[in-house]
Amino acid sequence: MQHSAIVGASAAGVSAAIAMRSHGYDGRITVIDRDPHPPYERPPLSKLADRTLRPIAPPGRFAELDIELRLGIEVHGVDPVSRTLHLDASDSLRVDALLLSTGVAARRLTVPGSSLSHVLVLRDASDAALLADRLSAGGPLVVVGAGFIGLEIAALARERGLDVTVVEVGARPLQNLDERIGLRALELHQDRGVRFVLGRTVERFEGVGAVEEVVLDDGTRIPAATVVVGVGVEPRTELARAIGVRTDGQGIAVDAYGRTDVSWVYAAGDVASQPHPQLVAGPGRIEHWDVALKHGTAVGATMAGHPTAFTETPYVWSDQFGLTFQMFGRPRTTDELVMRPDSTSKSYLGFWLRDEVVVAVCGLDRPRDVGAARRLVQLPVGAHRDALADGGIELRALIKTMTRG
Amino acid sequence: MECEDHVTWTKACGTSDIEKGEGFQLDREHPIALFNVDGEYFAIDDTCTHDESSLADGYVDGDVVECAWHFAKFCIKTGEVLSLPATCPVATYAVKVEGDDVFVDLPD
Ligand SMILES: Cc1cc2nc3c(=O)[nH]c(=O)nc-3n(C[C@H](O)[C@H](O)[C@H](O)COP(=O)(O)OP(=O)(O)OC[C@H]3O[C@@H](n4cnc5c(N)ncnc54)[C@H](O)[C@@H]3O)c2cc1C
Ligand code: FES
Repeated sequence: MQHSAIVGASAAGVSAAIAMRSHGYDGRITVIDRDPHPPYERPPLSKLADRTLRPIAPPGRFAELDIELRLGIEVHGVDPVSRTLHLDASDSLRVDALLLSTGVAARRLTVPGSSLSHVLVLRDASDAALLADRLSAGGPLVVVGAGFIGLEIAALARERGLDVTVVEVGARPLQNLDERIGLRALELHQDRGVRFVLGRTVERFEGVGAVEEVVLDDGTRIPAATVVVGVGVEPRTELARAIGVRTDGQGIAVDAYGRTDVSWVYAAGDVASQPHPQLVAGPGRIEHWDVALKHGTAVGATMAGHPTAFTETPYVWSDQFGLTFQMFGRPRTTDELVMRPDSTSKSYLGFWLRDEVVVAVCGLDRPRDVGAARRLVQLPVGAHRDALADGGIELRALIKTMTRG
Repeated sequence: MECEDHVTWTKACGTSDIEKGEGFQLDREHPIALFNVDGEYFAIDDTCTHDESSLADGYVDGDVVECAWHFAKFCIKTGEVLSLPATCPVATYAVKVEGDDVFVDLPD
């Protein structure tokens, strides 16, 4: 019997396994993850203060689909000649096809004091459990990095009454989005009492055993009972490199179908460097939950013998202080952001234009509008450019006219 | 509200309140979403089974509604869940139209 193994039982790996079955694959499927918890959703880890894990699929689903889960088991290496995965304790697994959905690891700082206790990152359930403990212990909390995850953690801690400072090297939060979005996030957080130190980096952490102070590059000292570092990620490409699969600076290089340059090896999700049509600067990673689910689904179909290209518009969301930010598409800093006039720091809707085509849409606390507006992505604005920014014109009606062409 | 054979018809809205291809939220303690699929009306639980988004806010395509938060899809006619991240179906409720009024059969 054909045997397919999937390393990584998260969004991409689980959706790929399910897709293989729904496309009629009747070989053996083994999904392996070093994380001991049944597959769970990662996004709630930075949004919910409790430790309940939300399952990706109901517990019985894997058995029903005859998908074998090997949890709490690490794949240490792969022998490319015999196609054998080396697991813990001299255990091994012969496979015919392999999907690497190994994701990314949170980047840690290397400045002095980085290994003190209570200097944390947040990527998986055990990180989240540690963070939950530390939030219960109280502040002050210092968050390093004002990306989505850093801002979500700051909001979560602030809502629990902790003293929170965010240190960010850039001039505003969410550096790679339009200034107006970053400044609105800044205003929202400052209104709720989060302090920001912008344009500064961490020089070192000080403390005896556990962190007590964060020292910045200008000598400023910030007291800290806990530090969370949210400064980006590194793709987990070790297994790919052990097999000799091509990687680029971003991750495991795949084609639109999730195939690597080694015929029996595929990659999906955060770890994949993919030639997505909306990555205009060339192949790269897209690190969003919905993308990992859909990429996994497409690559799973490919592995089951139904080659499926992944071209869907990337979607990301982030929840802060009870407000949901949503974005469709991949805007570049050179794209023009047109905001609807009824925008505030707590509610807005915007469209990015590139060469008079809508390339991305975002909104804060406007799920209904964003859901409708996403239909405009990839459409030319034509004569409607001014109407986009005109509050007098009802949005849904405008969208209907534009999508009709 | 009137009763006939354990059916409790509650007036939800007028037919003109539910445009084709749009959802209507019946705001009550347990909110209900009503849809107009090609002139036929359907009612399902409004709260997505994945998290807490309102399905009436979702995007309607034929008889499928796509949740506005993380895009779980549900069949409007059967409540069946059609795509991750949701894994549980939503409840459906009988609907009848009398004149310009839409009634839903709701448990008390
Ligand atoms: C705290 C947090 C909040 C987030 N919030 C959002 C959000 O709001 N919206 C959004 O769109 N995205 C969000 N993301 C991003 C989203 O979670 C990722 O895009 C998604 O998890 C990628 O899925 P994946 O399956 O590709 O990889 P991952 O989820 O990273 O899973 C990879 C898995 O592979 C396993 N693995 C790796 N190597 C090995 C090995 N050698 N042996 C065994 N197992 C191995 C790991 O244990 C891991 O479980 C968030 C991420 C985090 C960390
Ligand atoms: S709340 Fe509906 S998909 Fe998440």
